[in-house]
Amino acid sequence: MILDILTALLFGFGLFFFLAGSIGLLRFPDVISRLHALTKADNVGLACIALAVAINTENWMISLKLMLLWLLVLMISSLLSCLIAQRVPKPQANRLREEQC
Amino acid sequence: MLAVIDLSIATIIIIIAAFSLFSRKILSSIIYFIAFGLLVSLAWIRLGAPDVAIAEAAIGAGLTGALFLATWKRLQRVKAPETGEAASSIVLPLSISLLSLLLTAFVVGSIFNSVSSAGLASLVNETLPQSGVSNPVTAVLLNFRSFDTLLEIAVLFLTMLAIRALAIDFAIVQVNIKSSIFLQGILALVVPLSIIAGAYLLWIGSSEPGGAFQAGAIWAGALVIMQLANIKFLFRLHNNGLLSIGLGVFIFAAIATYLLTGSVLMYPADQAKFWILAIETAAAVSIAFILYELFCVSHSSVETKPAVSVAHDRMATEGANKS
Amino acid sequence: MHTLLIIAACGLILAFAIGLVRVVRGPTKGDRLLSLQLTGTTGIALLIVLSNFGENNALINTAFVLALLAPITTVAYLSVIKTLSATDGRGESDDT
Repeated sequence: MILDILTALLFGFGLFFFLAGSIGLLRFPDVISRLHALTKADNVGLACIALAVAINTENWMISLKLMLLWLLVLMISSLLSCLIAQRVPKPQANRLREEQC
Repeated sequence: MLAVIDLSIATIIIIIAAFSLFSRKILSSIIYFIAFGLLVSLAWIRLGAPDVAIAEAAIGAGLTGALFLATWKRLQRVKAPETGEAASSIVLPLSISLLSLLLTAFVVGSIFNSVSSAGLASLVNETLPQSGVSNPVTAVLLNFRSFDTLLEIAVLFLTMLAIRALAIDFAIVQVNIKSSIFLQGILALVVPLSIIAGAYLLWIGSSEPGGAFQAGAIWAGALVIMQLANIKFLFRLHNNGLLSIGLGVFIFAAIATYLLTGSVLMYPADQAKFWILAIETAAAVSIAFILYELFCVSHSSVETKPAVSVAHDRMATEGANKS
Repeated sequence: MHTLLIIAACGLILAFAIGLVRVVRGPTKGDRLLSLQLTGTTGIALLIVLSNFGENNALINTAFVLALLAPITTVAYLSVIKTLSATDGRGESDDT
């Protein structure tokens, strides 16, 4: 019973973060901010969903595999987002920072 | 209840396909096509074909994207026209549309008319224990219909030969990616794990969805991303031996089984698993290098600064010799 | 528990579709790249959800394959596009 509630909560959080990431992708004004929303929100959402599935799996090795999958996606997407952010031209990034000060 | 998922995936697939076909710019079409490949992989899973889904995820969402992007870059250099000239007559599009419509009607009609025939699934399940593997897809591919797979690998090999023959004088495409620590990090993460993942899929292909082609595709992905980052290798990657080992081992197995059991590709009793694993390993290596070769032909790079320099640049001298 | 999975899958497909709007509309080339990233991560989450709580190991393997091969598209894109902020409208010419 507790497991069901926990799973439902985790799925709810995961979906919330995923949808927040997607809506952030739509509504943020700039590539850099969209990148920010995408990477952070999506990875946390993936953590919640992977955890929700992992705690319900009978085979503990598959649960471990799910957690490792999340770690892999986390590392790869943070590296990729840094790579993309490096390529966004500097004036645009600086201008956004200045606008917010 | 799962019909909601299937219906939404199918709808998005059709919408993306329409965008990819009717987009005005080729780069956008390529992007839509990559997303389309990912969705088709999901569709394959919903259709109950996980082996094809793994292959589609590897090739459609990864390799094909890189291949199309590299080709697009090369087309930019060659200044090819972006969209075709306006069709002068309506005959060709009309006839093709009619043909597609007829084909679709035929397929749909045969779906509705098919009696409850399970196809050959019952036959495969009966003879599965004798095949040496427990994954029915691998059993069909490498035991029951192994001659077909031999011909498929031969076709792949011939395709590589043909593309190589056409690429005697290909243009050098300037790679734009700078040496970046994040790229090094991605490579350090992705390449070793891809090698292990490919070996894992190759091994479990005998009992779970996996197999030679999926392993080859993942290994090709690792090779392609190393090529994109301008890694120099110790050995020649365009090695003819590695490219032909798959076909070679398969033909050798065909001849050997003919000599051993009197019939081509009829594995000796109780040795089937060993033969299948040997053929699959060689085929996976070959597929990886063939796919990598197909990519390299469209994207040959002259780097400014290597990302990670492993050894002397034999690749650059090869490129200089070819051009 | 089955319905929970279906709700999660539908929510993820919705997130996927929203990301695809950005692929279509995205004024700059960087936006298209970001949407591809989103489709990759959402696809992985969808595969995890569809695996019916770990019963279908093949789907988790597919998610792994997707995670490992997503960087290829991004790195290839970054190596052929000159500026990520180059806006391209629907009908303008392609400048790299």
